[in-house]
Amino acid sequence: MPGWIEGADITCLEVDAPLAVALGSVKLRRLSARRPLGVRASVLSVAAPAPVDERQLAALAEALDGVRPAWVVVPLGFSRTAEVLLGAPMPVLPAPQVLDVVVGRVGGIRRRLGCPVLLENFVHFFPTLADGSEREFFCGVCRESGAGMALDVTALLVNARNHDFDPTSWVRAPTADLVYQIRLGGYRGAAPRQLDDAAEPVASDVLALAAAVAARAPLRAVVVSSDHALASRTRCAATIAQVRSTVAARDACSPRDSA
Amino acid sequence: MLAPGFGVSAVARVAADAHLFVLDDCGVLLSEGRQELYVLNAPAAFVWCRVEDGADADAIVRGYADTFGVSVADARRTVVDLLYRWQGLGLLDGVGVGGATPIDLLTALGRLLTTPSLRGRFAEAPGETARHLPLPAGDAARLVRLGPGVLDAQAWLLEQRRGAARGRGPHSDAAGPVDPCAGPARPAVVRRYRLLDSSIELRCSSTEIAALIGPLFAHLASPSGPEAPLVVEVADASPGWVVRSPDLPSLHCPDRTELAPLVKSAVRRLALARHRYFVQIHAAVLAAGDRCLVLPAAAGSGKTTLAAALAQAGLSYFSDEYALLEQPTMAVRPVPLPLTVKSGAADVLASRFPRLAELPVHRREDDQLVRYLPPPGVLPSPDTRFPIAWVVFPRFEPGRTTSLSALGRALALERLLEHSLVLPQALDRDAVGALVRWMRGVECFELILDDLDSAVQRIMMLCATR
Repeated sequence: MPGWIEGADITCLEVDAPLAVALGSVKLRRLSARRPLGVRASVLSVAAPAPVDERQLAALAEALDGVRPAWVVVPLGFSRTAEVLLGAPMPVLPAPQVLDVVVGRVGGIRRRLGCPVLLENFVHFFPTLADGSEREFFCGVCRESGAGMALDVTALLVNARNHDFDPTSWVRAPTADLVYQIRLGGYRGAAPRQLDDAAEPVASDVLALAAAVAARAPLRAVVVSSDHALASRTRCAATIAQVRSTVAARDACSPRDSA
Repeated sequence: MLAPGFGVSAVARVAADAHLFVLDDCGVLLSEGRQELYVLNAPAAFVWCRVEDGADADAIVRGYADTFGVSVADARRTVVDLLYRWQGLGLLDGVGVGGATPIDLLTALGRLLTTPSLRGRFAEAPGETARHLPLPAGDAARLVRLGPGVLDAQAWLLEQRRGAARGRGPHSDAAGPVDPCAGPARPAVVRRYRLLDSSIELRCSSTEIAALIGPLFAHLASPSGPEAPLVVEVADASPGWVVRSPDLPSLHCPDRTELAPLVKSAVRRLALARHRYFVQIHAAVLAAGDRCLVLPAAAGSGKTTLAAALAQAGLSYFSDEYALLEQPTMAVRPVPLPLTVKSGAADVLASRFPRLAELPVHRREDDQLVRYLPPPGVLPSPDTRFPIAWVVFPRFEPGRTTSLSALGRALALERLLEHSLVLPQALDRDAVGALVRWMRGVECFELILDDLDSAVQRIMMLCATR
């Protein structure tokens, strides 16, 4: 984690779960005393065939002991099976029995970590985006579990281009009513193989879509998840200023590296 | 007579990039394409070896049942499921028998997304491949509806993510100054140290800071070295200090209690980055005579406390953090940075190191309060290279009787791979072969640790046996 981040002009901070575990509870308590602290736990696969990795969850719970994190963000997908670690989240193929399992696991994470759970979308190539089933499933899980949505606006825009659907369908009710957080980053490439990319700056079209979401959603935070922005204090400040002027909501920076 | 579904000509083939290495009665299976290692227990290793021998499924099942004393039905279930799993991961091909236990759709997706050959077969014959995974009819239909194009695109995304994760480095402030006061200044104190093959020049902006940091490295003092030194500078940044080096990101330090840990980390990173090694094990290392003892354990497990006590008892201190094995000998070199003693451990070690309480307390980035204990005894020369004779996994369990028990090498390797072992290079047949040959030559143990004196006694007795 860059040393200057603690003194940066941001109003909340998010760390990845491996970094949180490496920093430990003493350090995290100090960080959370200054400003709300969130955690992104992509290591917790809520939709994997097997239950949530107990060892990972226990390590994270120990690191968060006494911290009272503002939120934990978990991708709505699976990143491992019993045989392989995939290294990135894969989307769920929606089904009623899957919904029940995921709702139960989300509740378990919330109770174990003692903080709100936000479910995150991400870039992928399954057809559940274009046919709308993913959006419906997402809303169903949020409503049934009480989780909020951490809408990755960059991923939404990239998916919309790759799958040729209108991203504003996620901006309208009832979906927008569940969005408690928006996440912003860069992208690269072109449809149908465009990807979100933390090394790229946050583009103006992402900010425009974010502003549209912010106008309708009960936002509590805007998270800039960008290696580009975090390369230096100067760049971070410039990105935050750009976000503030466009989205005009709460802001944060999210260091992505593990210790 | 076997049940229907078996063909006498059902002979699977080992993939060209899959290699098994025998370790005691178990196996270490390398997939070069997947860059993965699997530790196989004895039954799984048996099945693999029979496949390598060219045995058909019938023969493997019969042999399994005879060897492990199970029914033919149980043997068939185990063998067939194993063969299908290995085929799904691209380790085998041509598995032509039926009767495998159906897998779930997400497991099937995991196999398809990570096994190009399986995706290729799915592209040619989606329905047949889906049924052969095997998937139940409903899930097979869902998979076929997804189509090979979706799977190829998703697999491509996974590769992009893995590549990004490999390439992601530490944050850098290279784009701008750390703080307005940073700039070239004449250092007040300059000292040189040797760590591994690196000469490191530490430049401090004041004698006060030099007095704070210098004792950490005093035992590594080396007035001159064979090559230009790597520089670490601690400069005044008012407020605070900046720790910088041309080879590392600069770090601002607002509090003097946090300075020594940052400098220690910088010195360690520089020396390790320059050092060529085959395997890194996160472990304490000590030597008894010309053989090394390695104590792999997670942070907070008590290995530094144990290492300090063993060094004070007469073993030669190499490191409390890293065992760096060099090819081709797999010998280790000393990395004798000071021992990092946390608050709880300081009480335990007080009787052995009466002056420990007088050492300054420093705050690490994780907010742990630590003291840096200079290594006791005579240090080995930096060029010393000793082989590892013993791997002992310490586990602190208060209330249990301290005991040292033998551990199977395959299980030991599995533990090392899971928690402690880093292979900086790509996995290939030669590298894994060297790793397994090394493991065959070491004795492995588990140490249940409650009382430090008893633990030291047991370890010293072990080291006296060779």
